[in-house]
Amino acid sequence: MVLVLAVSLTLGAAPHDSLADNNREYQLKAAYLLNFARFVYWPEQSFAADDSAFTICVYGDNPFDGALNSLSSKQINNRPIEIRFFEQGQTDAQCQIAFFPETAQAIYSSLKKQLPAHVLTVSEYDGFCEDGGMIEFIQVENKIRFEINLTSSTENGIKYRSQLLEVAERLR
Amino acid sequence: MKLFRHISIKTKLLMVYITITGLILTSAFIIIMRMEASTNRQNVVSGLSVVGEIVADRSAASVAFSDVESANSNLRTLRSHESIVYACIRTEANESFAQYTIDSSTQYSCDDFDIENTTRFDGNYVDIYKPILLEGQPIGMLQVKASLDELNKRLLDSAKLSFMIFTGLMLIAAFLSRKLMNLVTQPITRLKDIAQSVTEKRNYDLRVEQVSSDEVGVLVNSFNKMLDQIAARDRALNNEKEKAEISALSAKRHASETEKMNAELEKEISERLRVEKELQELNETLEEKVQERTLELKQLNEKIGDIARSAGMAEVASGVLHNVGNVLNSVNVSASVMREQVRKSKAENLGRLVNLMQKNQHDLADFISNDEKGKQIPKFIALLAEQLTEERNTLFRELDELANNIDHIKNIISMQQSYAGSYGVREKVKLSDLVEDALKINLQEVNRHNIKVERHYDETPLIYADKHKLLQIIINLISNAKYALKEKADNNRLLQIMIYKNDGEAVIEIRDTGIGIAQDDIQHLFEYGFKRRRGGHGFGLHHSALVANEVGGRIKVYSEGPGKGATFQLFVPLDEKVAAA
Repeated sequence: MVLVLAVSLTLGAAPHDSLADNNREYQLKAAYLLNFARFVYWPEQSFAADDSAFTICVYGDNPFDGALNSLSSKQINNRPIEIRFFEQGQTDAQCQIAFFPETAQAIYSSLKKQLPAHVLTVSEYDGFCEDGGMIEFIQVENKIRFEINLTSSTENGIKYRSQLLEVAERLR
Repeated sequence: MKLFRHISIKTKLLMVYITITGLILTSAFIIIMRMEASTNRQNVVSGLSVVGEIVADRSAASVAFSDVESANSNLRTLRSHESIVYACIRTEANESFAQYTIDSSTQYSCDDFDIENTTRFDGNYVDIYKPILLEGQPIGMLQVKASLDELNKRLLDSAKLSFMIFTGLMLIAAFLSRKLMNLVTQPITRLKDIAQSVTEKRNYDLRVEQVSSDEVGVLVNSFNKMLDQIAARDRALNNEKEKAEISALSAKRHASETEKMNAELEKEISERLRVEKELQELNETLEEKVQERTLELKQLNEKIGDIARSAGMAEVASGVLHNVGNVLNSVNVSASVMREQVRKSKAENLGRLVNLMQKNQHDLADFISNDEKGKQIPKFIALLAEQLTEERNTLFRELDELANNIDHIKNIISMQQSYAGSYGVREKVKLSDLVEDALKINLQEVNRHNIKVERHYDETPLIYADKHKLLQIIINLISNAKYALKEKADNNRLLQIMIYKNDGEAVIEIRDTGIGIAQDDIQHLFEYGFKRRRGGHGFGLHHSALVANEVGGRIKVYSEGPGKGATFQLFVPLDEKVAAA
């Protein structure tokens, strides 16, 4: 909630310095990650156990710079949120959302075939959806929007709520 | 209410019915309309609420991902609802996020963020607020503003329809009431018509037909009965009127007759005046005659007075003689007894003894002692002496009696003499003495008839009066009482004589328990010639009354009736002047 509030507050303000810009962008993206999670139907088999945490895995370099910290106080599907960072692609990790920053394109490429089902893949690099990714952040008129690859999502057992699809910039 | 006085019952009833029906229908109308309005509003609100909820739900992602366009397009789906004029979304940070207006010419404002799920009515609009939730957490607010014009129009239409239905119902009710009311009003109207024609035409033979047995029926019945009575009275009145006319005629006739009679009367009056004049003349001569007659009467009265006086004296004398006669009777008896005693006297035996003794004169001693007869002489003498002594005693006794009686006679006569000479002379008298004298004169009779005498004499002063006249009265009263007592059957014969003072008068009251006097007789008691007993001469009391008047007194008599005794009171004035008059 605080995050959303922060997002909202900064929406109208014009970006001036790049540091602030960068910070704002990742704060938004962090909030969006959480919101994505909320617009996805998570089946029970997505989790290892009933009391397992909702895990967001961030691969490669961490671009969030603490923006994700605020997420740890939130809950998704009554589950606490756990953020895990991986330098390299690790397939045995129990993630619900796997985020690949711009710099982690190679990691995704090496990992994508081994990722288990029911993992929502999100990235910010251009062509992620083409690459078989599910949700790709895109920049539209200085706004952060996203594209959804419904085919790969369906193939991997990810079902979105229709509201999310309405909001998506593009569907593939 | 004054207004309704002149309205017919039918109209009044109709008004009542219509008023009641109208009230009920109006109430029903109002209630139904209110219910309809409320239901319609609820329907509108719930419809809008559903739409709002859907839009809010669909807008969650738009808000979550700050997608204004998507939010706006979401809001635009509200176009399909004509009543929705405006919608907007505010974020949690109270920033206007998206808006929708059906008509851009009208400006609406988006209300502040409020997580309350509420509905607000504001004039012709209703606002519905729906929170936009993401995982149960509000991230924004949807406001949907709808115009109520449509609703109001529908309500108005339905009101119009209802009004038409109710008006129709009212008309039907009025029509039916009118028809049904005839049942009630027609008999009354008929009664009224008949009553009116009875009043106007004075035809009391009209009758109202009785068609029901309800209150009106009873009224009709009573009305008919009343008409019967009025008709009867009317007939009686007419009869009376005819009679009155006849009597008026006769009165007129009487009046003329009276006039005639008046004339005659006047004639008579003048005649009478003439006669009166003659009478006056006659009167004058009459007065002279009256004076003559009065003189004659005076003389006659004096003569009667003389007669009465002598009668009074006769009363005294007869009383005296009667008593003297009685005493003389005793004297006669005593004389007879003595004569018989003397005739049967044993003194003769003494003569025979003397003869016997003279025959044996020579040897008297031998004769007495030896002769058989001579031996009896002493005995004989003794017996004779005894007998003679007895005879003498008897004679003495009788002589005493005789002397007494003669003495009594002497007393009576001397008393009579004491009154005889005093007639017309006034002297000092003691009333008790007078009464005692009168009693003495009647004493023999009183004793003979076993009459008990009681005396109550108060102390009264000596009075100055003609004692002879008073004595006459008292003797007469006592004598009357004596006769009244004598006639009485039983032995309770009491004569009470009282003397007392009363208001300047001395009263001598003589009361007896005798045969009494009948009320009718009391009135005539003092009349001349009124007799109450056989042998009476009928002027005892009359004379007593006259005499009482002469001495300035009067006599009163009381009796409670036959057998109840009588009381006579002689009033004598104590005042010397009155007594002297």
